[in-house]
Amino acid sequence: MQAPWFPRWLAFLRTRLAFISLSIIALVLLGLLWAAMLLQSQRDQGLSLLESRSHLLNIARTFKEHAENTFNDADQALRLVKYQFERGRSHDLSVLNEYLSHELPDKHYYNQIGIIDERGYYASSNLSVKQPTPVDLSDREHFRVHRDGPRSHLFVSRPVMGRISQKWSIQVTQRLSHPDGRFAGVSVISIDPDYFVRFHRGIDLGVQGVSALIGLDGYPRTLTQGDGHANQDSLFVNQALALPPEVLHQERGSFLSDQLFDGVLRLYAYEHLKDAPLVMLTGMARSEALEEFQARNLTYFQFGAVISLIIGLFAGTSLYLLRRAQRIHVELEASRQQADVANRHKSEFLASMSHELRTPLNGIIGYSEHLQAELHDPELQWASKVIHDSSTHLLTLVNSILDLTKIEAGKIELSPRRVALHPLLEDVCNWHRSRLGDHDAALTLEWDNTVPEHCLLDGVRLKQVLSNLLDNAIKFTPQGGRITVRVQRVSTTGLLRFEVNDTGEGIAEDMQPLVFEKFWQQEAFITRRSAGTGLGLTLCKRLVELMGGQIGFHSRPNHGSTFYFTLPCSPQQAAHTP
Amino acid sequence: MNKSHLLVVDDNPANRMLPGLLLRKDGCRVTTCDSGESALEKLQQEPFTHLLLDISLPRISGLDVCRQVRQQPLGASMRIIAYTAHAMPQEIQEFLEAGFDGILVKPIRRQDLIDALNIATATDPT
Repeated sequence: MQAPWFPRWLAFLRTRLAFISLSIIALVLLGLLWAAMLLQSQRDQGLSLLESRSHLLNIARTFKEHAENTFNDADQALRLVKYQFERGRSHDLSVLNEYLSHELPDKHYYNQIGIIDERGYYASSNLSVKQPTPVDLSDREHFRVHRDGPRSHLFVSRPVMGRISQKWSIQVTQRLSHPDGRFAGVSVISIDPDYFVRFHRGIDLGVQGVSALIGLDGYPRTLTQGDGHANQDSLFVNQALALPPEVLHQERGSFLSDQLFDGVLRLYAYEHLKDAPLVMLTGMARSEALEEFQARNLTYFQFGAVISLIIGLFAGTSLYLLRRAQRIHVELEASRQQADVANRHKSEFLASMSHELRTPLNGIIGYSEHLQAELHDPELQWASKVIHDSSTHLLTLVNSILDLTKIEAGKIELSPRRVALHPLLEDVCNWHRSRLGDHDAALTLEWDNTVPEHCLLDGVRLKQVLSNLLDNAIKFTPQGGRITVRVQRVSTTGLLRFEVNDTGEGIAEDMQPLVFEKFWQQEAFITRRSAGTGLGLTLCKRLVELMGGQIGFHSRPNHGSTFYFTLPCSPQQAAHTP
Repeated sequence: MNKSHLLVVDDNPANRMLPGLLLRKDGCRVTTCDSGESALEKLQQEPFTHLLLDISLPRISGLDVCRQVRQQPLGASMRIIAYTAHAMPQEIQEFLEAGFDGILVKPIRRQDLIDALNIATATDPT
């Protein structure tokens, strides 16, 4: 038994499988694409940050070295002042000024250089030797650290407004001592913080970039911002910075923070100055550091989006086509099922028709056969023979219909056997001769010597075809006509050729193409003779083709017809007995 | 002489009588009945060598009768033939699977009947 659900289920799964796998492939492709892009993007970002970091570190080092040089110069100058002071020539600072100008002509980094005495009063300055009122600086940090604290070499103050110079200055001071070691005041050089700004502006750190010289106390000494703000015009110059702890401990390094200044997330690099508690800090906004990367990234992602779109379109189109194919398949399946149902109904109808016809035929044929055997009156015997023959004919029609149905359903099977051809043909001819009765026509068999005596074929079916052709021939051959059955072997192809020739009325030319069509009847049949369902020739054609042969005919109206067919009978199959 | 004893079961009277008529001269006994029930009853009363069963019987079909008989000891050696107008290949296949020894498709001729029953006849040369 064939399970009809099986192929349907399989086909369904197959289309679904294709559907699912196509979707998965598309998704996997998209996933791989984006994963690769994200990975590449992250790597690229990391590299960009690394590059920016080393850039910032280099700048920090350059700035640091510049600051160190500046403070070295200041230190040198203060050493000179100290030297002069300790030799008692402290008040003649114009010489020193001249010396400094001469020695360091391009470095106008200081506003003022001078000495503060032990009470905190300005004792001398290079700017103005005489002040109308003495200026008290004893409250200043850069004085107090030397007076009150332990001996320190150099102090660098936060920017303060100079009371003499009236300028913002970083006060760099050194302790002065009396010959006996007592505190004698400080020498001071007031460095202009803008001096650093001018230098730092030479390097672009971006609009949000910063560079600052910061004391380890967290307060900036100088501050340069990329937006143009610097030192005292910046909001952040007097605020202690929340420096990460490692900045205080490590000589050099970098960090990412949004806690400094205005809260912008920046990448910072720093380096400590060698001889002062100061750190040079450079910073660049992370967004600006990544600007180039982000432009590149955007290109990547645009590219990725285009590829994704292409993959999506491709997958979408494929899925659409698959769905359509599937729908068509389903529709086909439905119509196939409808056809199956119709076919089953047809088969059921034919089966029941066959059954209903056979039941009465059994009575007719059986009882007429019995009567034939029992009756002795020739007339009655003849009458029962008519009944028997007619009903037998009716039976052949029923069988023809069933055979044709079986052939069309592909359910007929041949059973080829080794058949003695000559006796078979004689049998068929004799049987039909006996049916001729008062029909005064001659039926002859012409046997060609080339025909093998035995052949491998389905004898029952061969008889059926020949009988059908002979039935027709007898039907349409008038009194005194001739019917000839010819058998020969075609020498070129080795096929057997059977011919049934009659001298009957023939077939009208315009009807000839329809001869093998089902239910075809020549018009004259109906008016003159009531016989034939139009199934016989169709059945012959199908049977001959099933046996591997071909059927045909030629006919001239009023001169008769010749129907012929060929059957394969190869020497291997045939047992040719001489 | 022929020792065959046939039981013909068919609800159609004409078809029921026919085998008996066709075999009249062959000297075998033919008993008839018109339903599956009466056939099963008759089989209990008398020994038969052959059972000719129509398939489309009222109430109990010929197929069921055949199956039941085959399950009884008396059915083991009996030749059971379907005597039916069902001629489609799949139907015939079904009959053979149900345990029939042979199929006689209606309409029958005397020779078909003799071949199916596999009995000696009056016209046999032996």
